[in-house]
Amino acid sequence: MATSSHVGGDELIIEDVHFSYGSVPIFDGMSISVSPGEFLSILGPSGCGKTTFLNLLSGFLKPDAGSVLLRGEPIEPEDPHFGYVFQSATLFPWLSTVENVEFGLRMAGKLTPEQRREKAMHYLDMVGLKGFENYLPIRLSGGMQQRASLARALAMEPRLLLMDEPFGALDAITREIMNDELLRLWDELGQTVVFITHDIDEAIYLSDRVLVLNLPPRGVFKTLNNDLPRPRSGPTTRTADLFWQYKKELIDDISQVSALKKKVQAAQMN
Amino acid sequence: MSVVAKDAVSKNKSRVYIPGFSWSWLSIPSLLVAWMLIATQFPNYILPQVWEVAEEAYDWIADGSIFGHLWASFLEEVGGFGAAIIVSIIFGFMAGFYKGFREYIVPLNGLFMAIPPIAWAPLMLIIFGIGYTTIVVVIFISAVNPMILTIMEGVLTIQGSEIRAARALGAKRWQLFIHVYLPASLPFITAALRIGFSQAWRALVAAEMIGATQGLGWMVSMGGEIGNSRQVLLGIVLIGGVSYLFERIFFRRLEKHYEVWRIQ
Ligand SMILES: Nc1ncnc2c1ncn2[C@@H]1O[C@H](COP(=O)(O)OP(=O)(O)O)[C@@H](O)[C@H]1O
Ligand SMILES: [Mg+2]
Repeated sequence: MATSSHVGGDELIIEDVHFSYGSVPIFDGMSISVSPGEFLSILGPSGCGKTTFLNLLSGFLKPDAGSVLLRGEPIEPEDPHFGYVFQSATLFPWLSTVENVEFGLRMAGKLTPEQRREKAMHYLDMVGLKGFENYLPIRLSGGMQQRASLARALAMEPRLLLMDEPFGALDAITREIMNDELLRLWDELGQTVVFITHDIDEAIYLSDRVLVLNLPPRGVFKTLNNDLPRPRSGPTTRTADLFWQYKKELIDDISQVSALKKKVQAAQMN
Repeated sequence: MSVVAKDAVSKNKSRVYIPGFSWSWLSIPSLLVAWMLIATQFPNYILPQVWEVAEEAYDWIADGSIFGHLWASFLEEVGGFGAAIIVSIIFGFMAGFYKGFREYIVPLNGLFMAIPPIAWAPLMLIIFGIGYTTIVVVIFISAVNPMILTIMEGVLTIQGSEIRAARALGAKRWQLFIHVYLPASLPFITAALRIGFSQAWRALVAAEMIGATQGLGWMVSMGGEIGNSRQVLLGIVLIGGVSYLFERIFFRRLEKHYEVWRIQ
């Protein structure tokens, strides 16, 4: 059970990270630490650097200064210790669903084809895609594609799961279903999750802690420690007083960041 | 009620549409009929009848000489087109990967494609003399340029997001090439094969008419020189037939097969 967070040492340490695209600074001394098994959400309006932050965590981007360490080791994109679920489903369109899920295992080359297939089928079953294993991705709906992407990342059995607005393109109902499924999987598998979203409800419903990002390069605007009890479920969690209290706080934070964004944009116009 | 309605619909359909019938079955027969009608207006040493060309074919098959010519053309196609496949895959991928190389090679492709391949034949004849090498070089020049461009376009369409997804799943450099770049560009490689084959075949026939002592193109030009219009027509039929068989049936099928996942 991964319900108790903040146990043991730090899993992921981001220390004094500086990063800029050319001359545009995005982070100017950002520090965060994440505990093993923690579900951390990062919330912020678009353009505030969420994707950039995740790319720094995964090693696709390198910080100009400062360090990103997973259990004391720097991260490379090819590391098998983390899984990445992207903003839009990035299944390989020429591979069937199960072949997509097998992809990482095939690259690692440690299992026989039969073992790979077995494991891939296990995770496909977990995300509710049993029976669709031979479909090409174009024949899956958007929600099913994101499930398959999730299964593809989970099949690597990563310690750290990075998710970049994975359900952003889904309709509200499908998104709520996917949120419940994700919590169930996380409960079962116990990875550390860094989850990016611009949806306040989603951030509260899922996480142990919510970080609100400020406009670049200002870093973290606010940290909210989420004490909503687990296990969570739609009808009780989403109607709890605490949920509404958090929601009110976060709406207020986001509107402050958005107001600042408008002000900065207006200043740039002049 | 609904049964009646259904019946009416299917009856209505059958009036305009016979299942399994396609107008394409008429194309070749109507061409043959037109040929036969036109041929009645000419003496047969100028425009022979269909069956006279068929007799000619029988003679060439019976004495086995047709196979030598087919084989000669086939070997030239394999040499020139085969070399074009290898070179275009290497150059096409390089042009897709490296902007500098792309900028350098694209104008050259355009320049070579503006020159009809047969224009190279006299020069190659001077350099290599009559025979295999001359023809293979002309085929190569005409096939390789459009193939490089097609493969390059394919590599350029590959999404950065697919590459990042593969890397996050642990794919190393060479694995990216084998498991992402290659399959993602297969529809374009097969399109390049089809385009390259037809370019190569055209160039082959043209080059054989100038610089060969055998092959299908030689059959046609020699037939013209000795005034044997039956041989000329037989050559034309074979040239068209072989091309149709490979281009329309083999390569197009191959392309369709690898295109399934692209249709959105
Ligand atoms: N490759 C890039 N080059 C230059 N600027 C970029 C690049 N990617 C993102 N940016 C800029 O950095 C800022 C943060 O982008 P991003 O991390 O994608 O934000 P988010 O994911 O929160 O929407 C934006 O202003 C964006 O325009
Ligand atoms: Mg983003």
